[in-house]
Amino acid sequence: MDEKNPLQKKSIKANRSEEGFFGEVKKFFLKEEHKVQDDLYERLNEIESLLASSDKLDKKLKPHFDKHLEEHVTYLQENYPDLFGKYMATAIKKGIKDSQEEIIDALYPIIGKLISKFLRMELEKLSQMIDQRLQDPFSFDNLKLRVKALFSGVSYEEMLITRMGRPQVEEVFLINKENGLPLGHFSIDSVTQPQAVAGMLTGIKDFVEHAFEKEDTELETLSYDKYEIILFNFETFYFATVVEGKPHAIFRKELYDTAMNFCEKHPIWVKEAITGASQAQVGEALKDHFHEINQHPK
Amino acid sequence: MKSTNILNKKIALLGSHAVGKTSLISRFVEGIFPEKYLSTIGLKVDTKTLQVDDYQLDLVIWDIAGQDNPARIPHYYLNGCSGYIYVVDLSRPSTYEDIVSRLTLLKGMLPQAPFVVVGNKMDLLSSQELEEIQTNCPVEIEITTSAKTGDRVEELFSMLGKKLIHTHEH
Repeated sequence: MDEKNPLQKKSIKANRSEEGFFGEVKKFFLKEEHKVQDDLYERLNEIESLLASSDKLDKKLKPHFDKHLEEHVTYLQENYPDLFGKYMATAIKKGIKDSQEEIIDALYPIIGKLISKFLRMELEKLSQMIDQRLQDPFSFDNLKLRVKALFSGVSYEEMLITRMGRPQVEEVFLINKENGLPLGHFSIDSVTQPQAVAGMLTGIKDFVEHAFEKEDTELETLSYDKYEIILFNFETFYFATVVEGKPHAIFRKELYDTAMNFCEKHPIWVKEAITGASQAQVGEALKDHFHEINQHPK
Repeated sequence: MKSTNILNKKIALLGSHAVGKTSLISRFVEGIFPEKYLSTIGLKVDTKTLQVDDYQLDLVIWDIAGQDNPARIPHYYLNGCSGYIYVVDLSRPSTYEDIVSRLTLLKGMLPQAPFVVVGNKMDLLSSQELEEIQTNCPVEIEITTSAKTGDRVEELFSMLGKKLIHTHEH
């Protein structure tokens, strides 16, 4: 049974009239909000239709994208080395490592041409120097060389070429064999600490000679880059001559003869391991003997 | 005006491994050879000039790679050595416990050469600890130094310099 009592009916009626009243009040007060809501619905519909049509979307977004894209490209162009430099370097290194053979194949002809050009230039220089010599066949030096060639059996041209590429004596140390102290020293350019150099030379010499434990053998040459240190060993001392260039047998003989001449000329210095002379005195004497080789080759 | 005599002397720094020989030399001189020579041929040579009394003393200092047993030092490195400094590490008793036999061996190899026994790394110990070590050490530690701070390093070389001159004069 759905019948309500009169009191209930009265209450429902009152409620209905209240709803109508409050509805009107709500409408009045929320008028603005409803308008906003309607606007939002309308805007939402517009966006939905915009998203549904790609042409319209493109037109809307393109100007923004273009602007940002341009900014990014400029930034990347300006900061590329900082941002990607190390990755690029690693990639290049790996690339080179992985394709060494191809790179060598590609570079070989270019390097070959450069070397060939360099050699041609050097040979031209040598040829010019020989020409200059030959243009003056009656100079004292040339006549001397011709006579020497005649008696030594070595051809004049060969002697001339040997003379062109002649090594230079850069430094000479006379060193006490026992304690490694320099007895005298001569140098074309000044050496900062001849005592330390003489000490190290002696240390290296002793080390090598004892490391191989061969009886009665002594270190005779040390080579480094374009220099050679030629050692002449005597009983209580040794000469260490620093030579620039590749010394051939004739030059070595000349050096040895000079060292022997020095010993003959200063027998007391040599006999007493040069304790009686100052290092400066010995240095001057070494200069007199060995500098002569650079100035006036025999 | 006093005349100055010039003396060239080869000296060596000896002692166990890592007692501070190379550091003492580095404090005293401006080296020209890299330390890699020590690990290759066991030797590095430096020079220093000292003025001691009327003498200009040109020292050629051979820094020989550390060996606990002096018998294992390549004898040819000691040839013609006028004097030596025997270095011990004050913070490591093993470097001086056997010092008597080590010095006896060295005296046999270099009978005429004066020497100085130095205790290095004094900065690692208190004055009381230093006193105890000096009392207990079987030989007299003539001078204590610190290669780290540079304390008394010049004095050490001058001390040997004076002994060298004394030997030279007598």
